[in-house]
Amino acid sequence: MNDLIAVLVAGVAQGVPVFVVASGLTLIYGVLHVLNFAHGSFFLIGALIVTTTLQGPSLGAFLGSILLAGVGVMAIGVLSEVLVFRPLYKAGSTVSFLGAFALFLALLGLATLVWGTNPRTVAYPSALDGSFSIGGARVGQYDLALVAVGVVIAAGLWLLLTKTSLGTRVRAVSHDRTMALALGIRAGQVSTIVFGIGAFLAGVAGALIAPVSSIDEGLALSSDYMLPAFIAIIVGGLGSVPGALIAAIALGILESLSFRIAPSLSGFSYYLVVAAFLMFRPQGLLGSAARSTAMAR
Amino acid sequence: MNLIARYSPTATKLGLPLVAGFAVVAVLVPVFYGGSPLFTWTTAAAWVLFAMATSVMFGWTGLLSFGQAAFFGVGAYAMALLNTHVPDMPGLVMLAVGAGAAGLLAALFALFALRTSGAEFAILTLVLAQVLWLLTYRVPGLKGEDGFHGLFAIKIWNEPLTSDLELWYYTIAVVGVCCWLLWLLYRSTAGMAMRAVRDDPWRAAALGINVRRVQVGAFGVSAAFSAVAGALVAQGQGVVGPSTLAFSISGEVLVACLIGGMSRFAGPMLGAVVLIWVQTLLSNVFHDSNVFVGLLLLVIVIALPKGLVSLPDKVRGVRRRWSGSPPPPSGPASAERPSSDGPIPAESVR
Amino acid sequence: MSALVVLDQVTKAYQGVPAVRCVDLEVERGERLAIIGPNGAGKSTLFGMIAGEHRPTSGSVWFDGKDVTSQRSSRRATSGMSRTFQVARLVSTMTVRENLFLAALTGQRRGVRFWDAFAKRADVWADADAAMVDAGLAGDADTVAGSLAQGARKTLEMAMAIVQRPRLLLLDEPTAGMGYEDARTATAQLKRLLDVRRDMTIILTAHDMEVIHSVAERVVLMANGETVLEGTPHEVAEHATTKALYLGQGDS
Repeated sequence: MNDLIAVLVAGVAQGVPVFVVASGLTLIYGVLHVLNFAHGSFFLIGALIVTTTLQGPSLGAFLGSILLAGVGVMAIGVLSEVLVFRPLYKAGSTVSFLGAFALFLALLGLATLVWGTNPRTVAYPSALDGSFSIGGARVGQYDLALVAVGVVIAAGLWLLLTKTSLGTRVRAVSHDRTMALALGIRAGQVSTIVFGIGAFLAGVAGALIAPVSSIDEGLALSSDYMLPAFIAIIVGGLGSVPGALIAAIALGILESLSFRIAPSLSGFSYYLVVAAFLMFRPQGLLGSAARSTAMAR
Repeated sequence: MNLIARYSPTATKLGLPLVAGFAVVAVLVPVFYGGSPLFTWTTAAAWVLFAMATSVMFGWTGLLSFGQAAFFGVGAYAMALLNTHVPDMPGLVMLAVGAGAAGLLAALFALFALRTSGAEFAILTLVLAQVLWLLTYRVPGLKGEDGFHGLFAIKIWNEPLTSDLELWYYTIAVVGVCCWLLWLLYRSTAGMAMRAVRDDPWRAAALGINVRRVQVGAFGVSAAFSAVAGALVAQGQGVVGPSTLAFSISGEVLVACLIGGMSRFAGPMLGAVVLIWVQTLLSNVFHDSNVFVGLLLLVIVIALPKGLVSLPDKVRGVRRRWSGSPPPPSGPASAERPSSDGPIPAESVR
Repeated sequence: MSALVVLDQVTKAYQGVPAVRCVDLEVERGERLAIIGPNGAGKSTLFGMIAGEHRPTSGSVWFDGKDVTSQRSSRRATSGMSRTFQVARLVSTMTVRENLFLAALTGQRRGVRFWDAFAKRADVWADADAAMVDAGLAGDADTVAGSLAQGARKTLEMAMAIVQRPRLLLLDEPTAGMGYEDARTATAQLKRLLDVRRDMTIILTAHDMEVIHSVAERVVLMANGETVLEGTPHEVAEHATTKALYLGQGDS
């Protein structure tokens, strides 16, 4: 029982950064129909910004760094959208995917030029460095903080998407771009904003894992965060933020469980899950089934 | 009207010009180059095959993979493992085993991954390569960062290759034969089916072509020949490590295909040679290949937003401008095809 | 079961919204059937289910005595169905002649193979060339299909469908998108062809009454995903329901 609580908290904590990255990816896909591979670089750059800007062990300084990382990466994201994706939008998905992949490689290379290739580390903020016990289970303070952050971001996204006019426009464009245009929604503007939000989230996610992980270029497609994020958006259904949330947290818990039960399989549970999904529900948890009915066969 | 005779001139059909071209290159290159430039040519030759293999999937069949490094790496690692465990096996058999393994892996992967479409498929290819990369660290037998050494000892026929020149002849011969096989595939009805699937899967299906089977087959063939290329590169360098599975490799081969253009059979070959030489010549400027490949790919993609599709139109447009003849009365009909890639007429781009 | 095509209580819903509802239909061998109806009546969806691009939500599709409900469309094509699309679909980077070659290959019930790179396939090319001459496309033999004009695209697609030697020919709006002159020529060509190939069963959808009158023997009227009326072209055209449907649509 004690074990279970520890495993659950660790799993959710593992799932939170994955969700934060995945939500941005899936939002961007929903609105722009671009699969933003460059998110991996955004994520890495977020973490790297923390390594440079973090001053001292106080919680305030850490939060400040997180914000800086988010805003910095958002700036890069908005620039990328305007300079790279906007000209490509009309060229079709294949070209956009290529553009995203190119951007991923270029930003990754630039990041290593700026920060070097040596792995960097960041200390936990002193207020969150430690653990305490819940019902006898040892739970890391930072893990709990991550869970809290996850709740805040999920709630924030939910409010943003359902309660604001921006959210309405985002959902309209993602549902039917042509119709949204006909209704006078400026889809281009919405795209830029969504890309900015997605990049911001990626930067924040990168910043959040800075104390947990060693920071080097491997982070850009790391098996702990980025690959699960890609898998979460497939399993959750492309374009669905709630789907990404459920999938990311569920995968985090699954991974945490498998680490406890069968350590040799850990890291691979994701791939088994995605294979199972492809077999039985290729459109994902919350994806629409209509998409898969008309396929040339 | 003797259309049939016109269409089956046996010489072009069997690719004699192609084979002759390889023979000429094989003889001429060592005349002008030796030492380290010859080695660059050897690497370029292997990459010619890698680019051609990628083109089978990307250019002919219209499937975009961001994980070609997976198959390149499987070929290299298969070579290394066989060399470690059965050192007496002839090198060509090792190549074949690696190719078979990669082909099977790819076909199996494609059977699953092609249940999705477009975006998910692109993600999954990337994930596949990255998982294999991970495996090299997780599976002790794959030796992690250290990788394998001593691949120079691999015996072709009965002797290991002892000089750069021998390595060149060996590599170009294998690449030539493989490209010839790919040429046969291109000319066969199976190759036509691939192009039909790329152009319009619905039309292909209505013609009785099993779209899924063609895609899975193309994926497998592409992977098998990519593995041969990976093994050749590994053998040339003598070492195999996780870097053969790096995602920059997947990016590089796409660049090679795009530079050369895939509307012609030989386009990717040219692209590969250009890529490898530019990369070698600029290796002092760019220490990190990601920046180089990424920026190059960005430039290609942004300069030609319709990518490969627009290439022939653009060339035609340029030629038209040069010759001063009037444009055709209507845009290409592909503009009217309702495709998922956005119904924007090709001609409206600039 | 002697009918070539049988639809048994076929329904197709998209996200719960039915596009075709409980349609029963039998098409005899050699029959020429037209399906008409206003836009959104479900004609194309019904067509897609016969050809195999859509799988019915419920009900079954039978072709030549076999249940083909879940058979893929390529399999149906090789067992004797061929079709055209409302907006012609061609292998756009191949020449007119190569397009016809691929169709003729299926017409001879041969699959696509790697090892036939060495084969001459002269008989297949001969079929393709004959079809090309028949369709009046010989002048465009080496034109890339993607650069053909709209009328020629439809002509080529029709020629491909026929050289596939189908037992069932599915024509989706054979004259849609054509100018008046082209449409008349196409209709005349179609009619001539059908007189020669009496054994071929045909199902077509059309808005163009002239095509229907000159090709169809029986007409089924669809509205809101259901079949509402059937009879000879004349009966259906003159029926009050048809007029109400089409005029009603014209008003809105």
